[in-house]
Amino acid sequence: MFRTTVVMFAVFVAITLVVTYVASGKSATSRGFYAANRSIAGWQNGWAIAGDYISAATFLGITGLIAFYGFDGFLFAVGWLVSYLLVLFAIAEPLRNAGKYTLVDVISFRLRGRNVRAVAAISTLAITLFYMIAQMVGAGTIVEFLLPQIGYTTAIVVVGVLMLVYVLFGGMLATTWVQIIKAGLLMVTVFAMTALVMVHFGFSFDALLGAATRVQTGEATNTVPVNLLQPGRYFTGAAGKWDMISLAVALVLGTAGLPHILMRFFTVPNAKAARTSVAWAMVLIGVFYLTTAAIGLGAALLVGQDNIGKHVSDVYAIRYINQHPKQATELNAKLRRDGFIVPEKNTNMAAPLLAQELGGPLLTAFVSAVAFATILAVVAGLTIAASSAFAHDIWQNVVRDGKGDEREHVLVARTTAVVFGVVAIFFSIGLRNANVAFLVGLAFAIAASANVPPLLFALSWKRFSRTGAMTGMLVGLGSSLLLIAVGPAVMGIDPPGTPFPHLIAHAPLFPLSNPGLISIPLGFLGAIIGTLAARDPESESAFAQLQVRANTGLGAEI
Amino acid sequence: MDSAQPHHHHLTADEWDAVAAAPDFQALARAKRSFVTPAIVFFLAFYFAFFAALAWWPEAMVRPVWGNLTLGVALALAQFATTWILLALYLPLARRFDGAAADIVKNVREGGERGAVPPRSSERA
Repeated sequence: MFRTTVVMFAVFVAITLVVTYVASGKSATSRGFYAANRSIAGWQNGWAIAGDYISAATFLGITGLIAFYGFDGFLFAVGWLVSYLLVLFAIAEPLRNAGKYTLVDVISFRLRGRNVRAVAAISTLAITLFYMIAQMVGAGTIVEFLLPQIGYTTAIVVVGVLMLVYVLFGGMLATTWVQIIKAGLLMVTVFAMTALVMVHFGFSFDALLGAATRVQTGEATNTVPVNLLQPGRYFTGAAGKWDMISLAVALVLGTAGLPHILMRFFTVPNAKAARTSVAWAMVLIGVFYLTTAAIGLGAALLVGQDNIGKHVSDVYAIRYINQHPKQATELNAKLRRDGFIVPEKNTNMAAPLLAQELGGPLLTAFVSAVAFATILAVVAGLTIAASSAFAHDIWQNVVRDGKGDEREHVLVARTTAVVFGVVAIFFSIGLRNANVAFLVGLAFAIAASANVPPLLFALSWKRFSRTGAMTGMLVGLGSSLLLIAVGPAVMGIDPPGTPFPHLIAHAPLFPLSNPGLISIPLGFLGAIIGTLAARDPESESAFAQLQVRANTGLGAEI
Repeated sequence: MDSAQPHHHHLTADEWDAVAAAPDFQALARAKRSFVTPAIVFFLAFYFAFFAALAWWPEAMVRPVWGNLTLGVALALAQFATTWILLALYLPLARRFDGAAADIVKNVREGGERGAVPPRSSERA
């Protein structure tokens, strides 16, 4: 299987490198580097958005959550799809009409002044960095499991270097095509897997659901079949329902503030194409999520939860023993006695293991190669977003006050990409035990709390002021970071011998693992109070211009 | 492509205000709002009602409504359906908005060439 996977992945890399070669030379200007010279067609951008949005955390994460927790796992899919309605109705077209390269352009359209731009750019950098580390840690873990010959660090370095080749030589044009190709491969994969699962149920959705109500699992001493259609299997305990609602808020509002997704709307020629791209993305992403239900339930029924969990536990156990050679004997004894030493289940392997069950080594190799390609496409998009936040928003517009020269601008953009890539590689190697879902949740929560309130208010509220933007962003950013730091993702008391203990050994001060329920309203409230505190005549008088521009495209960047 | 169309940053603040106050722009903004605002309110209300139902009536959610299809699964799929229905309703409407917006832009450009900003009545298609 190793050789097949490597060959398949090499073919993907070869194709994308050809694309990069063709695209090179079209990224010499900032417009080419960030926005592919606004030459991407609406439908192409729709595929690229789908490719950018369906990260490894989504493909492997959602299928795994559905395999283990059933119905609750599918709620992520609901939130992530519905969130595009806000992008469609309130963000995509005005953003394309009023901005140049970044969402920060739109926030600071009326709110002139360097502070607003700098803070908005910093929140973009924070979101992209967390998202990026999540993707890379995910990449390393997957490769470690699927191709143990390669190993975690090598996998991350390979991802980082390839991504930098796309971004540095091909800019946004190459990145877009990497995302389109990957989205196509992913759709083929999930359709094939869905069809192979449905064969086992006579192509009856009803039969699949029926089987999902009686899933046999050897969990503990429990021999009673599990009903995966029962809500509340993932969101359990006293805080469970509030955790679910908090996540629901963050998911439905978060997409509208994700820098790497919003940036894609600047690659198309006009607002109409921006709308077309959201429409394509909504259809593709929705269809994709429907297939995850079949794949996730298929994994639970055809592979079995215990088998999925066991494989992963073994990998973690081996890794842990390698890291703690002095305890190896003791741990090996424990491993033999208990079967595994990791109490937590890593659910990410449901899709690859289902592929093995359905199509043997060939399909597994293909799915693994697609998962790896997925990560590459997403990290390339994230790196360009981070690069624009620093080079365009901070360097060009804050440091150089909009007067810097174009060559320097692109040079700074490329340098930022390298620095960001290297920083992300180091963080990802250092944080190899970080919880991937937690990092993605963090990115969504910051996006929804810090970026969405100023973006929506800047576009729709005449009185919205610089002070309001600053208070909104700082409160949103600060509260989401703080609540995560004192929440159950960081704080907790672990039983002795837990391989990956919480960072702070103390009972969590905030009960919810996603801060959205509190931090998002706080972000909006901060923006409202700051706006009401002081008037901003400059912002109010520019409102008419923004309205006309956002709604008609008059004066939009071409 | 690059220099085919002129930029319009040269409009003065008063000129932008005049375009914003013109009846055709007001009509466009109103027409957009009258679809988008209720649509956003509706989808958020339906979305949060779904999650509230899951949180407080979990027993009702496992009740079968059609064969093995439970109420919870049916409502989750209904979220997909309403998302796509709202998209399908918006797209033809948005094409009409595009026409109105193009007329406004055209009028401003022609007005700009004559050296004046248009205080015109609406003549949308």
